[in-house]
Amino acid sequence: MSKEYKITPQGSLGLLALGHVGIKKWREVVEKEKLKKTNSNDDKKKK
Amino acid sequence: MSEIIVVTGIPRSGTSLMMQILEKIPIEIMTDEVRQKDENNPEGYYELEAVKGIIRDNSFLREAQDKAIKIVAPLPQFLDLSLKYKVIFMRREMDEILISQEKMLNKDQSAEREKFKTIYELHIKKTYQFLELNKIPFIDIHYSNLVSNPNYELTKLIDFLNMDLDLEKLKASINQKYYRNRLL
Amino acid sequence: MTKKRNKVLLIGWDAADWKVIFPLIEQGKMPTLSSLINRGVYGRLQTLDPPLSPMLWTSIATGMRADKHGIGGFIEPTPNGDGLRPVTSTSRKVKAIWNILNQEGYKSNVVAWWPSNPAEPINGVMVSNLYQVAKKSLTENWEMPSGTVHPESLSEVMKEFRIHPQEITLAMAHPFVPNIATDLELRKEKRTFGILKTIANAATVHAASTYLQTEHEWDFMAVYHDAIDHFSHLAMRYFPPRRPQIDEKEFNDFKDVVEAAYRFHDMMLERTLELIDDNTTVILISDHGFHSDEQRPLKIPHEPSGPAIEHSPYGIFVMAGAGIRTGGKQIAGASVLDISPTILHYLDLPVGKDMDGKVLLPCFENPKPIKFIDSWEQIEGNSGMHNEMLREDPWAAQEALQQLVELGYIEELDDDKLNQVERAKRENKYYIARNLLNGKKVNEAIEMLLEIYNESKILRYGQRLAFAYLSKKMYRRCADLIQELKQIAHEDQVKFYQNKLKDKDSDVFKNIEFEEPMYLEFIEGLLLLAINKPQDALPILEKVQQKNQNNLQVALQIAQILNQRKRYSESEIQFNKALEIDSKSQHAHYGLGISYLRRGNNDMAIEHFLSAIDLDFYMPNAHFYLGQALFKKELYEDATSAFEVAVRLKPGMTKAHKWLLEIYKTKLRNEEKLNFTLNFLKNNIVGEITLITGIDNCDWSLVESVLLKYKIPFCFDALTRDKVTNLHIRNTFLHDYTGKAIHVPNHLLSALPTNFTYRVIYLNSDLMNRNTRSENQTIHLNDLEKYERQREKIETWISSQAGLKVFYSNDFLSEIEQVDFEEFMNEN
Repeated sequence: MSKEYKITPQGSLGLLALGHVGIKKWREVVEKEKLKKTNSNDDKKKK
Repeated sequence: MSEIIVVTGIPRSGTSLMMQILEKIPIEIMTDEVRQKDENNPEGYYELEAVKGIIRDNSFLREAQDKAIKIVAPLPQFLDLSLKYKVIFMRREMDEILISQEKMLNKDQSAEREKFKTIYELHIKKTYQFLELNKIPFIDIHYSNLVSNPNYELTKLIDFLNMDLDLEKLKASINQKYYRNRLL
Repeated sequence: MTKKRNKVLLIGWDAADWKVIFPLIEQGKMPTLSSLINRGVYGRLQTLDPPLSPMLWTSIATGMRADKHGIGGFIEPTPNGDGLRPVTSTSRKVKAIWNILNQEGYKSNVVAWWPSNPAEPINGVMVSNLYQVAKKSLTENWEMPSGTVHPESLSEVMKEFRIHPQEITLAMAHPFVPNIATDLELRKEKRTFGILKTIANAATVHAASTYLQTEHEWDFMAVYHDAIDHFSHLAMRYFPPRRPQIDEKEFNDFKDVVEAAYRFHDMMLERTLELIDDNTTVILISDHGFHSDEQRPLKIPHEPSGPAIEHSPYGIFVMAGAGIRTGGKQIAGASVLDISPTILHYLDLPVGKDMDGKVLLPCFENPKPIKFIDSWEQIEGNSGMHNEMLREDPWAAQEALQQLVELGYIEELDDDKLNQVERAKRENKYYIARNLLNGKKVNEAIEMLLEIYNESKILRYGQRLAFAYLSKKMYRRCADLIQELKQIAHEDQVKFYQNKLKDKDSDVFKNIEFEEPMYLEFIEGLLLLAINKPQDALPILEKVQQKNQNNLQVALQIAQILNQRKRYSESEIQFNKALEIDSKSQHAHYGLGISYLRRGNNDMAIEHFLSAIDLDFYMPNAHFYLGQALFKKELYEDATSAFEVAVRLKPGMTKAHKWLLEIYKTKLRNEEKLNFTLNFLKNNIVGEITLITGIDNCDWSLVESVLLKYKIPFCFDALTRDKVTNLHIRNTFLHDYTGKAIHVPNHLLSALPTNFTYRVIYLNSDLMNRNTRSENQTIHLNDLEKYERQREKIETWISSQAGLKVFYSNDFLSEIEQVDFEEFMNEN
């Protein structure tokens, strides 16, 4: 069964309802977001 | 590492008698004589007050290396497993045990004997399970045999303890008149 | 070649309730569940008493009640005997369904069942109910206690699927608490945290189960969600409509929680069903329901397991898959005890005779005969249960340690701790006793209740004991105990008010007037009914009803008394009240049928009798009175059908036969059927004799005149008396007395032959001479003793006679007794 899912860091109940697959992908997105934030913070510090 | 000799069994199974025997070998007994000798145990109880708190704190065992200590069933399940033990399990007819306990407590518990039987059988089972699960060496010594025909049981004991002992001397230490409450 | 077996997936949603689900389905908010129902069958699932989840989910998994399975509550003593811990899987004494299946070579995955810690070494994967537990803050290393996962090797993998409450985002919480978007204070609220925690728990269990579903082959899978129960306890009070006692702001904040919870579960269910194949049969259940309407209690009793008062007696049951009927057929009479037997039968395995549940055959398309064995406990095999060394009764072990304390071999436990353990032990026994009562093992329940009540004099224990005495007809003890309990209740009330004055808490659940739930009064009312004093019982029961508007039993009892008293329009109101509480009460429908029948409204009578029969076919009286109503409408064919069923269900129902005779003779003129009925009566029921017994002598003419009103001649002449004296030698004379009444002394009752039916009027000698009634005391204790003695005397004889009708008279025939007597004489 294939469904299109746009995963945001905020996530959704639908994501949780997907089960282990949804959790995994969501945490990846959350990590990426965290990294982006720390990188941009570093950039700001450099400047 | 040296071993701790633990004498166990249901209270009133001859644990004090066994302690007496061990003392005569001689093996050092770990006791504090808080419970004084009385008509139920004219030679004394050979108990250690600290054992009463074994559930909460078993550190006293570290002082017991190469000594003998009385720990009634099912308290051996609270032994410190980092130490080594040899366990002597005193066995006696359940009915005799119950009568002996009633005498000691000075109350008639005959109505509840069945209940106590179940409880004590549980204690015995738990103790054996604990010993087997943790591979702690032990032997059974039967109280009635020990008193009526000591050769067999004492030989077993000597072998188990791996000691160089005089059988006759040991036999003398067992006083017949202390085999009370014998069922006929 | 091994036969391809059907897989079974068992999903548990703790506290899920049809009353919440159906409206949501109608609104299109639970599409997955809706389609599952349509694919298969569904129904109510009756719970047990007490409705405590660890006991219930163990009953579900074993098919047995708590006295057999050993889980008696939420907590148990620690092995050291000095404290308490949550109940563990090692305390279960019998095999669960996955253990049985293990023996039979099945592979099972079990997720978060309650109780399941430590996880059992089954062939498959077990994740215990400690899996989802999270400490307040998410640390680097979120520990998972050992024993949570079997096999151990999967621990690392499973760790990753857990979701921590702190990971739950605003977006995820929004459907539950919409105001969270704007109200910052709300985000810090304790209840909000509870909601986040429960979402995380549900998501965790779900993640573990989808993983195991897809990555670890299985034949049987069981998944347990406790989220709906948590959400309901937290927020059902805010579920619309708002009641006046509920704060408006709080209502607005939390009114969406319950709906969101159910919708989220539907979403999870959708995913779960996506991941199964066509060969999997799905069973979805809950262990009890949850009051969501006017029956929601406004206060939680201050006792352990107090919140269970919010539970309702019916959970849900849905089953769909190969071999199961389809189209959303409704199944009646299912109980939590039936799940394991049904699964066993579905998989072609025998059911243990020691299981208390039954196989739900109506679910099956082509039901096969059920195979039985004595007990699965006796069948050796690799069950995957814990090593015997680990399994023990923790209460027995604790008691055993206590013995050592007494003998002076271990130190006294901390007094406080000991008291805690003792109290918990008593409470557990209380639950087991209730379970025994629920299973009709009254003697054992009495023994247990007596013990804990005497030790503690706690009101709840005493009340239950009084109820047990009543059901065993131990009226004297019941009455004595009630007096004692009233005293205790009074003292409790005084204490409560004293405490209330000190405590100015504004929480709505503490400010409501202290109400003794009136259980005592209810028992008192039942006691009066039992000794044939309905006129005294009525005012008491009405008082009880004032404070217990939603109690079905009370409403039914009152309604039935009113029916007896011919107060039909009032009984109609009460029966309708009962239906509002439980629309499926067959007794309410039956009672309404009677009240309409007696008022000549045959159409309504027919409607209600049919409803009663629909709910419970085995109601011979309902069929009988239905027949009467149909007769009155001149629908003779239908009437005979109803009467025929009545006599089939209860062959001794003479009156039904008489009606049939009447119809075949005068209305339908069916010679063949008439002769058949006549023959049947002749061969099986020789006739009815009215017996006067109890006292040996009284004013017989009084009795004669009463019976004459019912066209029954009372024969107390010398000749008859002689014959009766020699009854034990020769009894053929009785044929001459059918349709008549004779006096038979107590000691000769057992000599009566069984081929007659008897109607017995027992006259209480000692009370016959009493003229005055005491105003204040409704129950005379002396009367009760005598009453009991009388009963004992003829009890043995009564029990040997099937369907015997006995009327106990204390004051024959006073105004008070007249109505009851009429009812008695009119009974078929």
